[in-house]
Amino acid sequence: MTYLKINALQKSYGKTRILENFSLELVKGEFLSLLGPSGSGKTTILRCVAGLETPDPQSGDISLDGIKLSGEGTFTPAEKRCLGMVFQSYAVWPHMNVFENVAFPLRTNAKRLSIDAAEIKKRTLDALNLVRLSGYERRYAHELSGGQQQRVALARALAMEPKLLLLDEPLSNLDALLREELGSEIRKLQQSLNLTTIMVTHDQKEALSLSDRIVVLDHGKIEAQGSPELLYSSPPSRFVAEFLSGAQSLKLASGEERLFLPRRWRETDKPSMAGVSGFPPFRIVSRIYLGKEYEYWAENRFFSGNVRFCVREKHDSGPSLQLEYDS
Amino acid sequence: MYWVVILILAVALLGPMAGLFAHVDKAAFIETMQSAQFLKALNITLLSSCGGAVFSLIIAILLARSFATHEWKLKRLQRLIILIPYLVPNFILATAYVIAWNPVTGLLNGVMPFPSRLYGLYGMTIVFGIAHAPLAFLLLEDKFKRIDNSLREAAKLSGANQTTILAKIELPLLKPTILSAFGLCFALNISAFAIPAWIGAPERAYTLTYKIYQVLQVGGSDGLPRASVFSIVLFLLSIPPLLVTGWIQRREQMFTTLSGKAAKTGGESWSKRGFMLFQIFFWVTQTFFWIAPLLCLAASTLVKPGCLQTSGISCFNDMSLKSYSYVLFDLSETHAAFWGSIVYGTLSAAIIMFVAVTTIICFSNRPLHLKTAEWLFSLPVATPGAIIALGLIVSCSGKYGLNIYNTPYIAVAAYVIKHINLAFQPLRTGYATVSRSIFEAARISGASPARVWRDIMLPILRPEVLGGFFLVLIPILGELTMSIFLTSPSFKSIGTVLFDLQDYADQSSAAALSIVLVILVLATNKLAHFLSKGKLGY
Repeated sequence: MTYLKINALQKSYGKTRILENFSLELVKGEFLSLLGPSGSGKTTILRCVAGLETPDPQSGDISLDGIKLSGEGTFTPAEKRCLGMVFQSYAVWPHMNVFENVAFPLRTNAKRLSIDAAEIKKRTLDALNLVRLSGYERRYAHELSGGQQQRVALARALAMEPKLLLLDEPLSNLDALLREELGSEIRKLQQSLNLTTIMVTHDQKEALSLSDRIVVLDHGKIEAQGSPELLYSSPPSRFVAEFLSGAQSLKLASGEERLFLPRRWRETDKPSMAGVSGFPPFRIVSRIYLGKEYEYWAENRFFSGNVRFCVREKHDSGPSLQLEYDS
Repeated sequence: MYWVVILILAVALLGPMAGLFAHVDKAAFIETMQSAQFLKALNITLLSSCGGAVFSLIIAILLARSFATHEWKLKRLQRLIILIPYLVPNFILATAYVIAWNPVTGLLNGVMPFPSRLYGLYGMTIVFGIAHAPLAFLLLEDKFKRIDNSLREAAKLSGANQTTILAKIELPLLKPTILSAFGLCFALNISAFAIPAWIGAPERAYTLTYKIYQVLQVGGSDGLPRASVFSIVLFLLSIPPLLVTGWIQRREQMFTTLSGKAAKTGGESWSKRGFMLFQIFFWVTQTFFWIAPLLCLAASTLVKPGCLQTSGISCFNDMSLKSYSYVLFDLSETHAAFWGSIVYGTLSAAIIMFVAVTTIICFSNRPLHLKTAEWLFSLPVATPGAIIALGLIVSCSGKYGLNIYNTPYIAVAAYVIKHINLAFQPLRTGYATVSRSIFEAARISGASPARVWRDIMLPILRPEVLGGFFLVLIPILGELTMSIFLTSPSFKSIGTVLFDLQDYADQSSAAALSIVLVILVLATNKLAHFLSKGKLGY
């Protein structure tokens, strides 16, 4: 059953139209990632859902759990929507300590939630425990690392048990290791709390590893949507293939243009006659070490441009290499 | 060698004040401190200065938040309107208030009454608040703009309404700025002369600054010693706000308002009702603060003295520019005043720019020296003008081998000491933004340090140098607090002549001279803005 419904959302800044009849539905407990390049409108969608942006007057509506948030003259302000949001810049209030930061939404909503000071304290400590920050209650933002600050922001967003969790590039300010660690923690929490979540990201790896469903956006429109596995293995369009899977579009000698995934190239002993059919040997032009594998750029007279492929073996530039493509 | 330069700067800037403090006699100090006159003046100074600073802050917070977080069509114009009382010298604002609301003949008494009696403690407090609110507005507007929008948005999503966001998020984050603004307004209020003289004195609400002037006027053998005691107390009053601001700024990490890499600022949209309410608040306050009083001032220059009070607007049938022709061409004091303010003001500004530029060049590779010089330049800013003036009188009257008392050069010295920081700060900021590689690229190209400064650095800093020159000229043209103590047969300023005209109850001439000065100051401000390519002035 649909939990969040965005119907024909429109948003413009001045004369620039950012979103045009954008529609999307989420079911309860789903983790959805909005993935797209800069300027694709993903943050605007998130902010419209949050109530931080007002959709255009002629826009359709947004409803959550059957309650209309915006559209047809209705607009519920952000403070009344009961949503949790984690910002890219953490947005941890520097003049409040960790406890006060997390308790703030509970205090402002104390009447609505009918909770007293003891309950606020309990819920705050529970939220901090959830993000593994127990014992940090008295610390201020400047006494915390980036990862810890983002945990505070997460605890604050979770504290009042939001109807929807919104994540605006929550991991992009963190280093690679911390990003993986906090990413999997967010996913675990989201699953254990059965919390419907929308994450905005431009990081394909993040979207693939955390989401139930990915929506790929380009210029304010849905380019494709589906499970990470489906979109990665069978990208429905060239844009999705290039953006999500890092596919390379190559022109064959015949003039035909085809997409190639760098990791589907294999070394072979067989001379030519494999995959796409009969490649002459490749001549390696450059090599980059990526940790688990090497990325190569190689020349082949069968293609008009250099071919990119990834294999585990190390080869020196120059000599010929026989490759096949596993299509 | 470089420390010798610092020592010379220290002696030149702080020597007069040290001389004043050395001059104080212990017995006179104790006797003056215990006098009822002193205690009353201290009380009035504290009440009016604190009250005025709080009033300035309330106005500034309400306006600054709206200006920093919203966009609308006439915003630039309305911002300039807020800043007018800051650009207009205090004694002109005070003159306008006297014409508009003096209890007997005030032109606006019937139409738009002043909230209290104009003369006396309450009136003085309100006028202090209005006069220095633009300065607090400038400080707060900048900081409100620097608050990362996601800090507000996070609060909004946590259920906070606009009032809660202001009270629980924005104001606590701006605590250091609010305290700095309070300290600055308080320091300006305690050292002000014009407003106490025009608004407080008629009701015998004497502040310490006015008492210093009074005891010097009365003279006698104990005139200067008693004035020195008042000065020391005034100096001591100016220290606590600086200490509190310094203490809170050391904990600035707790008040960092920009966070993360995606910090965004501004951009809230008005609701129709909110916009209407704000516009009403804006125009009502600004009309009351300066538009109506300055219009009264301008109107009174065009008609016969006292006519508006008796015959109302029918006076304009007989409108003339006689008062302008009188003050500009017939009144000999005006000629002397313009000569004093413009010639010696220009000389002071030139000296200020020379010292500021030389300091930057000398210490460009010596951060510690530069920081010390900056600190030395900033000290006189918080020091009340009366103390600098009295210090110069005590130190430069021949006692230490230098006698420039009763010459215009003592006023030049006072202007340089008081206003050098105003020119130095933009220059220092401008210099800090020039990449070190610019200097180094020129050195590698074969230029000597002197050549690099002549051909590369000074041309880059030209907007700050030219704009800074006119920027310091603005407060010098409208200076009264120090000039009133340093005026002599060979030196008069526009401020002192206006004070005399006010004293002789020649309100029409005073108003005409005020309008001429307002035009001069606004033109100088525009010139500073133009020459600094928009970096300085408004």
